[in-house]
Amino acid sequence: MPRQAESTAALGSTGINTARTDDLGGWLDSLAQLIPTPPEFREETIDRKTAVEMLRCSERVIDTLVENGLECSGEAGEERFDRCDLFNVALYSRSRRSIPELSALVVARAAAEKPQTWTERRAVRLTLNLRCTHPSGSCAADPWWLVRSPQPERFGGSITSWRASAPLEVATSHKDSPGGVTAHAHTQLELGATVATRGADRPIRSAVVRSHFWEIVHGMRFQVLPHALAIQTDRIAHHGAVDCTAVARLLGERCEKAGLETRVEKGLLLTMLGIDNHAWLEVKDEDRKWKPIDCSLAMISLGSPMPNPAFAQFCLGSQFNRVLPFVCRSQDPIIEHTCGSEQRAVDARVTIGAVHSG
Amino acid sequence: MTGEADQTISELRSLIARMSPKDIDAVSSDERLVEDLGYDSLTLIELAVAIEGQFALSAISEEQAMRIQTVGDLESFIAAHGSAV
Repeated sequence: MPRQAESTAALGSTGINTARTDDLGGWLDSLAQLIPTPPEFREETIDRKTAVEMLRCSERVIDTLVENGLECSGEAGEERFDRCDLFNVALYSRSRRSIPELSALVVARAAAEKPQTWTERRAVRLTLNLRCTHPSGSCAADPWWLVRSPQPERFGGSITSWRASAPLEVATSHKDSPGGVTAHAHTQLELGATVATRGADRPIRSAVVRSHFWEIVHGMRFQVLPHALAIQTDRIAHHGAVDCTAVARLLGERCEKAGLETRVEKGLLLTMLGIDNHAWLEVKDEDRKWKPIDCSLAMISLGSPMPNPAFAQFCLGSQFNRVLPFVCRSQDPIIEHTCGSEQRAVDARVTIGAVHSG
Repeated sequence: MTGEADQTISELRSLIARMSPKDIDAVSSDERLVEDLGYDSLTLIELAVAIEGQFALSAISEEQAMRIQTVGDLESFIAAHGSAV
């Protein structure tokens, strides 16, 4: 399982870097293993300052990566990078400080806990901090936000109404959109709610599905991808790297070829460093029940300093209580934002906290 | 409190001060990790893992970490769970 061996090494053996030093060897090893974003999907929009913040590294690390072939555009000192390339280099850098590594570490730590903690009822205060990524730093005219509807009740959970930093309106569901809430906040919007989630342990019966799951989990490398690439299943199979969306679609295609019904679902990952756009596959199993299959979480656990094969097995048919499902078609984002009549990427931060009584 | 416990608390406070995003030399029990010492989600995770290593604790779960608000909460946590006290 060479991919897993790489991943385990990449995330480091102790999990954290308290010395806050730059191990250039780790960065260079990661760069050597990087599967770069293909040219037609590259968006070199991240400047040096943002790169340093994302990687939580020194300028020296950026210099070294550029000198050793990290693709970028612009003059020396004014380089612009592809967001996915930066994320993926950081994920396997062994720096133990970068945001991608710590995000994966949090998932891996939850996966390493006792199995009953994966399905028990869990209540948290959820906060969504959303920020417009307009190059000027603030919204253009007529800002508009849409956040689709969370659906924790699908797995026995519940949610309070959103509290928001701006007035919310309900966007009703219709055939082209499942609806949600909208707001006209300028540049940033904060939403909060108390959420209870519950997981479910429902192993997959189909031998075909199980076989495809393990083949993909052991055979592919986990990297984030541009959405336009992640939805091209024919390319993904040859690209060698998958993210949650790509792997859900890839497994879905293989299951459908075997005659099984599938659908891609979306939601948030509710951890201390939450993920705002998580996707997984659901398959109608031989017992005619729809069951979730989360290859990407299995890959993250197996590639971590504390790999847990039991958790990877759990991801094959069961629901993890850190996942909050949303009513969202697979081709749509959970959070949308437009300003100046253009759709903008959203910088979304998902955080959770303890629910205080009283 | 025993001398060994005093030593543990001293080491813990030193670690919290060293890893704080703010430039501080010392911390006290009633200081809040986020509001007073500048910790955020990222740095709290780093702190949790560092504490596990230094004080020979098993992994601090997210549920436990979310309930720790102050330096004193951490001192109590280590007193209850650490092998060094």
